[in-house]
Amino acid sequence: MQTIQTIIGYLYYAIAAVIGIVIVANFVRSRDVRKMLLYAIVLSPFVLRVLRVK
Amino acid sequence: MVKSGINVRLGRRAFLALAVMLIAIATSGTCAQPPAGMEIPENLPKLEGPVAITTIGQAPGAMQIGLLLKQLGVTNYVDTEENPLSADQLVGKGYKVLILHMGTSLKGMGAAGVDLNSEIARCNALVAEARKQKMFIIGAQIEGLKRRTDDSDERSNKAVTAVSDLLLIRAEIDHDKYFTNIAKDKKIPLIRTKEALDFRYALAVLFGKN
Amino acid sequence: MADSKGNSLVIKIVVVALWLALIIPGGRQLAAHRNYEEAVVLGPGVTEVKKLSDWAPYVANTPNDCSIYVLDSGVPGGSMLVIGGTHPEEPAGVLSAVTIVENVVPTTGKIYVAVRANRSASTVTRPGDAYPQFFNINTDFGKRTFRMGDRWSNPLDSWPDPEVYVHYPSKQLLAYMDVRNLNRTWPGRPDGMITERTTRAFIDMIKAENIDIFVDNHEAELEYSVISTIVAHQAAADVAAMASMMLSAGEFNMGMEFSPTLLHGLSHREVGDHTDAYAFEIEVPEPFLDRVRGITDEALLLEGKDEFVMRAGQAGLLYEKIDENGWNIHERVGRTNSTIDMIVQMFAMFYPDKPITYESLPMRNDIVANGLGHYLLDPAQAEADRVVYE
Ligand SMILES: [Zn+2]
Repeated sequence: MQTIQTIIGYLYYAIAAVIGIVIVANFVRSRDVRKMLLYAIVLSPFVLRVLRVK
Repeated sequence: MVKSGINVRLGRRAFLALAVMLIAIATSGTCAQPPAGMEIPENLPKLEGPVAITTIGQAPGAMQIGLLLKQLGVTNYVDTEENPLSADQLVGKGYKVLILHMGTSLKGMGAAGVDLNSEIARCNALVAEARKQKMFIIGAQIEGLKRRTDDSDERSNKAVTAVSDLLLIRAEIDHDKYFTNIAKDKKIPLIRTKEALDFRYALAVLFGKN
Repeated sequence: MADSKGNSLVIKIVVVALWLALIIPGGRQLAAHRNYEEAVVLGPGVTEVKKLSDWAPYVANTPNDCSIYVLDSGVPGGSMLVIGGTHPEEPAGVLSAVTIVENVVPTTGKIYVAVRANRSASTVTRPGDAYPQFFNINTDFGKRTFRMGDRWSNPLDSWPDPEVYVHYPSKQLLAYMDVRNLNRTWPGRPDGMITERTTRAFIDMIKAENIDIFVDNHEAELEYSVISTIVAHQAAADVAAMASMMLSAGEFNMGMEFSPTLLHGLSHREVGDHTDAYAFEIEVPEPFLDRVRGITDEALLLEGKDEFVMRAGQAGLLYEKIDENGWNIHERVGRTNSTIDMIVQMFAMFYPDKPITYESLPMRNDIVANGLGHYLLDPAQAEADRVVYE
């Protein structure tokens, strides 16, 4: 039971990291200032979670 | 140095000493003055046990009254949430008095609320059986304003007051004279107490334990 | 809207710089809160400080391996466990537990105290709801700083939540986030999520130590009907009913409620059902928790004054009175302590073979007169081995 939870937990961190990378990639490709700001804001919770801050 | 619990407390809180005295007085059977704010009407019936107690709406007040009666040495039965008092439970037990407490419980804590319709049906069935056995019916409310907050409480009040031979309530729930007016209309005695603990004095008077 | 390539790079650098300027200080604040070491000074009655994992190895090395303060009189008698911090956004419950640890000297029986029953939930707040991160209590020597927390365990310690939380062992379906609510996971299981493991650890401890009285300290919003009340398991109902009547007649209004038999996961239900302890929950009013509140800050948390909650009261929407004096922390901690004391007194009346007596528990009148801070000890003045960090 606990092992399954731990595995699922790590998978969620992996998912968060992948989404974070995709957002960063979008940010890098973006040429629109508003979109850049949007990507930066959206990125925040993923970074904070992967770094285990919030 | 180990002191006894009571000695430690007495210095710190006079009221507990008072309460301990109250218990002693109530159980020894002498009590001269009614507590502050309580008027004892004349022509009260002389009641005796055993007593059956339930709350129409499942609030814990029934149990509080049962505890006070127990301290007075009056035999009583208080029902439980799993097994609420039913009319057939009144048969063959020799109960002389039925106390119907008013107030609804379990509104919070995410629980499904009490089904008031079935509670009122239970109340009516209890009253029918009690009348058959010539039991005396007291409508009581010991928990105060806490159980006079919403429509469910009002329905419990209405169902119980309609069938009571005497009302014993906390004065604070009579702020709109709801209970005073019913007692007047029905020409039944009304006893109002300031505190829940004062019920002990009123019950002592009613059951001849004073 | 497309910029030239060079222009775009400059803008990106500016955006990244802006983002870092927000995320670094913000992240550091969050980390500082999560890692803050909250001092608890061992009072003259504390004979031992244990860890919850001493009874339940399955919570070792987790954020919820909280300290268990043992106050042993050495004289045989009853035993009591008081837990604060089930919901760390209810500070009176935590502070009540702290005043017991720092003041009480037992004379018969044994008292166990957990100040941070759900330590994980005390390492996260609700920035989105403008919760303060810390709160300070003024004392005779300066300020004592405590972590403000949340109702639920930190997602960093319990993630993800299930789609639906199936309570163990009743199989009752509860809200998904309540798998992190310490008052929905009793009696818990040793291989469950962290909050379930924590409650199970307490159950194992209660059984191992033959706890007689279990008290769970809480606060409630005035919009909620379970307020200014003792919630009691049916086995403990006699004691709670007498305590309620005595307190209401002598000191302040305190009602009682039966623990609902069909609602699972609550401490007063499951501790009563799964152990021999008599289970009580105390709820005092905390206007900070009301949804109609105005400015949400440390002042509201500690002084409990809010014009909007007052307006709701005038409109008859609340289950407890409130006026311009509010519900300050002294009153709330004081009422919690006086209620615990009355439960102990009434328990002794019903079960004289299991006495628990003690001295120096600060009561409601003491705390209101002298201030809560008067009953908190100075960690700087205490010997190093008499200070524990939660
Ligand atoms: Zn709570």
